[in-house]
Amino acid sequence: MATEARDLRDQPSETRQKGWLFLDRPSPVDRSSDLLLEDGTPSAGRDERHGPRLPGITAIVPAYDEAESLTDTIISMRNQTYPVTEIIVVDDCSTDDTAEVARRLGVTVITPPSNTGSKAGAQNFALPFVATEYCMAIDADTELAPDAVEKLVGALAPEGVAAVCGFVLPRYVQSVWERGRYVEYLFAFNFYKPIQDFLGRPLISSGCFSAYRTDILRGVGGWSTRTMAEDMDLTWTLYHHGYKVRFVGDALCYPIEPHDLNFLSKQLRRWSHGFVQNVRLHWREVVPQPYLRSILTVGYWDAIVSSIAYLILIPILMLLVHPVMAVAYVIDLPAVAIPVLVKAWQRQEFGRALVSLPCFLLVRLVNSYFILCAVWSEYVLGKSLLVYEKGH
Amino acid sequence: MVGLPGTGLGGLFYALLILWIIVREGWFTLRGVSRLARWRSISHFAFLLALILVALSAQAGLVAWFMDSQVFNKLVEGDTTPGDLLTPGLTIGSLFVLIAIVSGLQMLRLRSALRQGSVKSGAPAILPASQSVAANG
Repeated sequence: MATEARDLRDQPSETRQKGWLFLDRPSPVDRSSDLLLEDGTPSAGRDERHGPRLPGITAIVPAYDEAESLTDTIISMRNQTYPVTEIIVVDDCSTDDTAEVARRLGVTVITPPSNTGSKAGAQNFALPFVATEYCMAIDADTELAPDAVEKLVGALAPEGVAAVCGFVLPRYVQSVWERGRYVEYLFAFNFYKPIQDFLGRPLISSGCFSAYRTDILRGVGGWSTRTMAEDMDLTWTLYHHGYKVRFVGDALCYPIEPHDLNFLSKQLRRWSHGFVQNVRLHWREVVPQPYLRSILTVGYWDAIVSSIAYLILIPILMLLVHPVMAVAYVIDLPAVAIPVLVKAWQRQEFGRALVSLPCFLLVRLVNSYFILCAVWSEYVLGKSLLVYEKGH
Repeated sequence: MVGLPGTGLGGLFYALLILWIIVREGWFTLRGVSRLARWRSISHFAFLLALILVALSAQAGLVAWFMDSQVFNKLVEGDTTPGDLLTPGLTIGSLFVLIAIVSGLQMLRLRSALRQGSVKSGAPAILPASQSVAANG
């Protein structure tokens, strides 16, 4: 496959069909020339901003039935202060006109012979086509802030850094589930993740928006399809090989989060199983990693014990002791609220965050259910989740 | 972590991590290997931690006031009160659990280091790529 991909790269301006592979690559366009600064000079020519040479970066966008959201994603990449060299959309045998939408926007479109079965499969399919020093994974429903790529690339420059990820926030904050997720993100990305990064061990380089050194990514085999959480798997694999992963709090991205319980359930089922699968897979490699082992073990313990508490222990106490025991559900709310409200204040979204806080409590209960199901299924029943279902 | 429940023990762990970071960076500063940017990050962590402690203290005060109030006495009859269970004992218990987890990890790490010479641990793939089922959507 790789050889064939290279052959096609040699003739990039044509659309061709070679057996099972479709590659639709537009004429090479230097996007950097489109980006003019206030004085009219191309942004890419500014050595003082990016050094003597701009490392190229290719965006890989796995897409299955993403015709509705893909346009915004691509436009946001086109409007970056740092030029994205090439955008490759992997149309994973969509049933809608995802490929057509991508072609109309003038990006490279590749189509595997059949649905790859997972995001990781689609991303790996694109990896041989990447010809730049850096590459970037971005979900087809994720918009980027205009300077997001610039911020990521800057953090990727130091030697030994293999991956960098940004700050994630839901694009829409309307339903109860989106609001709950909004609070989760504000909390995790303003409290947990910066501390993890300070200690050199972000737990995950988020799959919806991360950048990598292409040679290192290829060296570790790309994104593995062996678990349901390919981003976690890749992050821990990179640590195991001695590479660094960074979190950049200024690099913002806005994915579309599940708006109803049905889609949320699919996403949480995948995430929970993926987490358990990765712990089973990597725990021996994680034990020698300073800080990562503690961050992971405490998080794992906390997730399981608090799930048991929320779904079993507290209801029993409410029945046997007194209903006022329900206060245990909100006992830690101040600890959650502070990082959330501080970040929301900085973003001028204080009211939205305040109103959303109760939704977090509900989402946490749903999270609890799915993590317990995943642990039970993976450890007790020995049934591993094999089917990748999209979250929206 | 997003998608996972729980901030109790995890929150306590991160609070202690912040304290550890301050001590560690202080040591680095004394040795002249710290940077101002790192202290800027630390001040942000410390600021959040201070606010969290203030908020939790305020909540504890509120709960204590509520439990002493007549409203609560009307609600609860009998000897056992939620205060018996939601007391500092819970925090101390969490601290012990945390210490046990971290100590256990260190022992596991030592055991792993001792065995490293004889046993080469490789992570087996629990899900072969071929088993991934095409089911997007």
